[in-house]
Amino acid sequence: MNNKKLSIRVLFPLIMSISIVFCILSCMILFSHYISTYLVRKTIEETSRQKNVLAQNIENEIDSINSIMNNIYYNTIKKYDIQDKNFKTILANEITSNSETIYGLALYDTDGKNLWHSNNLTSTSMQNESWFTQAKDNIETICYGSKKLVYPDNVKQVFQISRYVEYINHGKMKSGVLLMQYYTDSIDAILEHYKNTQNSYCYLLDNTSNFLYHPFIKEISSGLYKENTTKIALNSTNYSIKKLHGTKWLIERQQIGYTGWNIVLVSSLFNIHTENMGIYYVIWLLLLIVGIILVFTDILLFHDFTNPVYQLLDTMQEFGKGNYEVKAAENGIGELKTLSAHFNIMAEKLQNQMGEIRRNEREKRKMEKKLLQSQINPHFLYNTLDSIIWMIQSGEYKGAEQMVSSLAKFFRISLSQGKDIIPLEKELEHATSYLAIQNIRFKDKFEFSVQADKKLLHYLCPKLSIQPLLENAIYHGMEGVYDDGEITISVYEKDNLIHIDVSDNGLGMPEKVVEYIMHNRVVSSKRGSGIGVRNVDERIKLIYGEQYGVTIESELDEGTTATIIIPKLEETAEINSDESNKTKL
Amino acid sequence: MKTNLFSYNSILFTLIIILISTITIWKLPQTQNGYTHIGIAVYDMDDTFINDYVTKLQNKIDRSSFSGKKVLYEIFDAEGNANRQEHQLQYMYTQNFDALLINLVTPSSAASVLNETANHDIPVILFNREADKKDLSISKQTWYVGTAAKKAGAIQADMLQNVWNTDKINLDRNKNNKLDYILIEGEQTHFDAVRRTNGFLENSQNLPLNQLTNLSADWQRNLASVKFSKLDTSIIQSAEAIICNNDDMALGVYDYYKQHNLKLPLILGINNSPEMNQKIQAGEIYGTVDNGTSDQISYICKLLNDILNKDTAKYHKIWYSKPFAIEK
Repeated sequence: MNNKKLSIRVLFPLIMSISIVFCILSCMILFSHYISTYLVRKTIEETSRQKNVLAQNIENEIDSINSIMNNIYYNTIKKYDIQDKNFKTILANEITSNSETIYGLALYDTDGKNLWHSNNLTSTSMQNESWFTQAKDNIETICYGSKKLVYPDNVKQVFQISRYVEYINHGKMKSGVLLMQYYTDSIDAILEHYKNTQNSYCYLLDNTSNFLYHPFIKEISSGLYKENTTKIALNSTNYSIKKLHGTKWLIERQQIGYTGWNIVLVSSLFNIHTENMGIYYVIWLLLLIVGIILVFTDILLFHDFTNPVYQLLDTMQEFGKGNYEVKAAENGIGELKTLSAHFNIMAEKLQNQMGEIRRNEREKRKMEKKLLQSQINPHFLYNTLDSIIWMIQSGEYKGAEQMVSSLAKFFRISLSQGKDIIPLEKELEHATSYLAIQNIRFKDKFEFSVQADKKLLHYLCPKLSIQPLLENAIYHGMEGVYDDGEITISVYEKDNLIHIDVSDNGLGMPEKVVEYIMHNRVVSSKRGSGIGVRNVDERIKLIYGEQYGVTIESELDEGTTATIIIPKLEETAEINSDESNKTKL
Repeated sequence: MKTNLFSYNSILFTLIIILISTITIWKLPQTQNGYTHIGIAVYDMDDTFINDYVTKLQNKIDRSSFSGKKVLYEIFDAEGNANRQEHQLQYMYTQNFDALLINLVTPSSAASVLNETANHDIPVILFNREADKKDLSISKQTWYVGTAAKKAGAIQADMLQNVWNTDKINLDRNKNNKLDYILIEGEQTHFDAVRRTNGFLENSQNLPLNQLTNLSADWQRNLASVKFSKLDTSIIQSAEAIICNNDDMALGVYDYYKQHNLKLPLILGINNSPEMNQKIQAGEIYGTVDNGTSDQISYICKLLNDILNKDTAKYHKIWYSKPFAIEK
């Protein structure tokens, strides 16, 4: 029983709570995972958007540089013979009008010999410069060469931009290379717009993986900082996530059109997690609250489920103990309520059936009692009548007369108009007439006396209750007693109860015999009324209750006293009790 | 109780069925139809060369089947406008085309286009207007099909050399022992224009050339005619040869001479357009260079077929057709 209680009341909520906790934990892990991938994806998207913007801006700048270059080429170099005066003036004008962006211009022939140069450049041969060979090899495009420091005091740098050109010298078209030195400021300005911090920065690589721009270029050149992402960036197609220095880094790269440059954006993914910790906390807290609520509702719900069951169980136990009046409380949910209701219906039916059985039993007993009452042993009548005949024959008319009148009284009271309960007076009369008959028959073998409290005589007493005790006294007590036997009937009140003592001074009975008489259906004599002492006891108990009845006290050689104890009931009450009995049945 | 259980089970069963079917519908690849979709972005259909080129390409595609599939193509004409082409390309990226054929308006913008196609994982064949080699390396699924332009220029020089050698008396009208010529270039910065001129220049070192002037006419017949008419009459009168980067501009110059009833100089073009060819056969124009357009178109179709079969390992990024001279 205890085990079952444990299993249902504790085990089920426990299992449910564990499942809920498990679910919530899985949700937390899933959410965290989802959010972290979401954040990473968002960062990638955001970074690539910024990357696109930066690349677009650089490409636009490259476009404008290209158009300046092409403009100089197509509108001046290609148009005018270099011997023409216009040639030099137009080129010089071109530089002055673009002096903010262009540092210098120079034209070389295919051997690297300088043909023309702006004032701030020298006429040295440039045959071995990389931008020169590049331009010669790639005739279609403008080549973006390496950076060069031009203003040592101002730390200004230029891109060496070169292009294959065709110029006219004395009417002859010749191949050559045009060099334009363009300040890096415009491109640097674009890249400086990006928030350049240790955790998130961008840099620009030329097509030989040299830095064209890096926010920490000074630290790099002085060896304080080392850029490790270059190789990874160049090997990845769009972006890659790599673990460096213990944290994950997002490295995005995009090639800049026309130049073969690469812009690389590097940002730490460690930051996005710490920056967005609030979201994690909020979601974890929410899930925790949901989990707690679920566990509580689970426990409450189970309480609600099991409580009616246990109430019903208690009721059933009570019912089992014999308290048929108990009713199960009809609460609980759905089937549980019906269960209680059905139990109640069952209990009621059972109770009704039990009542019926009891009623039947009572009826049966009553019938039995009636039967016994009417069963006045015929032997008694024959014997008495024989005695009367004998007395008449022997001329003892007076005795015979007395006997006949006694017999008549005896039978009148025996019948008593079919009443069960008669006044004590009548019962005593009945007992006296019986004793008188027996005394005559036993030839005054014993004396008898009746001492009754006059006040008690009108109280009621079950019919034929004293006679069996007398019979008992005569046949058991007077056996072997000659002439000096004495039977006394005394009626008195004690403790507000009526006591009727029938005592004899006979031999007394051993305990065993008393027990036997009290518990077995025996009649003292075949010639008697045929009603046993036990029957009297049972009837009294049946009528008045268990606390009343017959007791026998016997002492060997001293005598026996049988006592009837009944309550004081008057005639009016008798009717009531009879009625109440009837209603009860 | 039993019926309850049964109904619960049936509800559960239906739910599972619904779930499974949604997942399958979701995951099921979009129904394969028997067509291959190709988007063709064209720089300008008014350009006679491009028009001719695309028409030939259409015919070729219509006639061929790509591994048993019909090809549906959509042509987007940018009308020479870079912005318009950008819009068209943005649309094309989202249309689930199996491959794109792109004739860029501005080859210098190739990088942004190829970055996009690389992101969308769409194979791209660029044609006619070449982009920088560095830009082509952005996407692995990119090829360029064009012509060996430098060679075409060289062929022009060879033809001129040939005439100079065999018919110098007629060519050197002013008898100054120099070949006075006017150079008419195509679109500035266009790879083919630069290369054709460069090819001509490098291969004409032995000729006593005297460039009277050069002009750029954007490949266009009308523009060439107009720009030519604005030159000094003295220059036009002394011009013994007109070297053009393409046939249209050559025909523009031809138009000028016909309008003004002047004696035609030696005119050289490139492309071998039908009209040009006809003029050559009539003896009015000296010659032109055939770019091997039909070879290019065959190559595009072959490449397209292998792209659709994902068998492009043997292809180089850049392929040039071989030009050859056309003269009477």
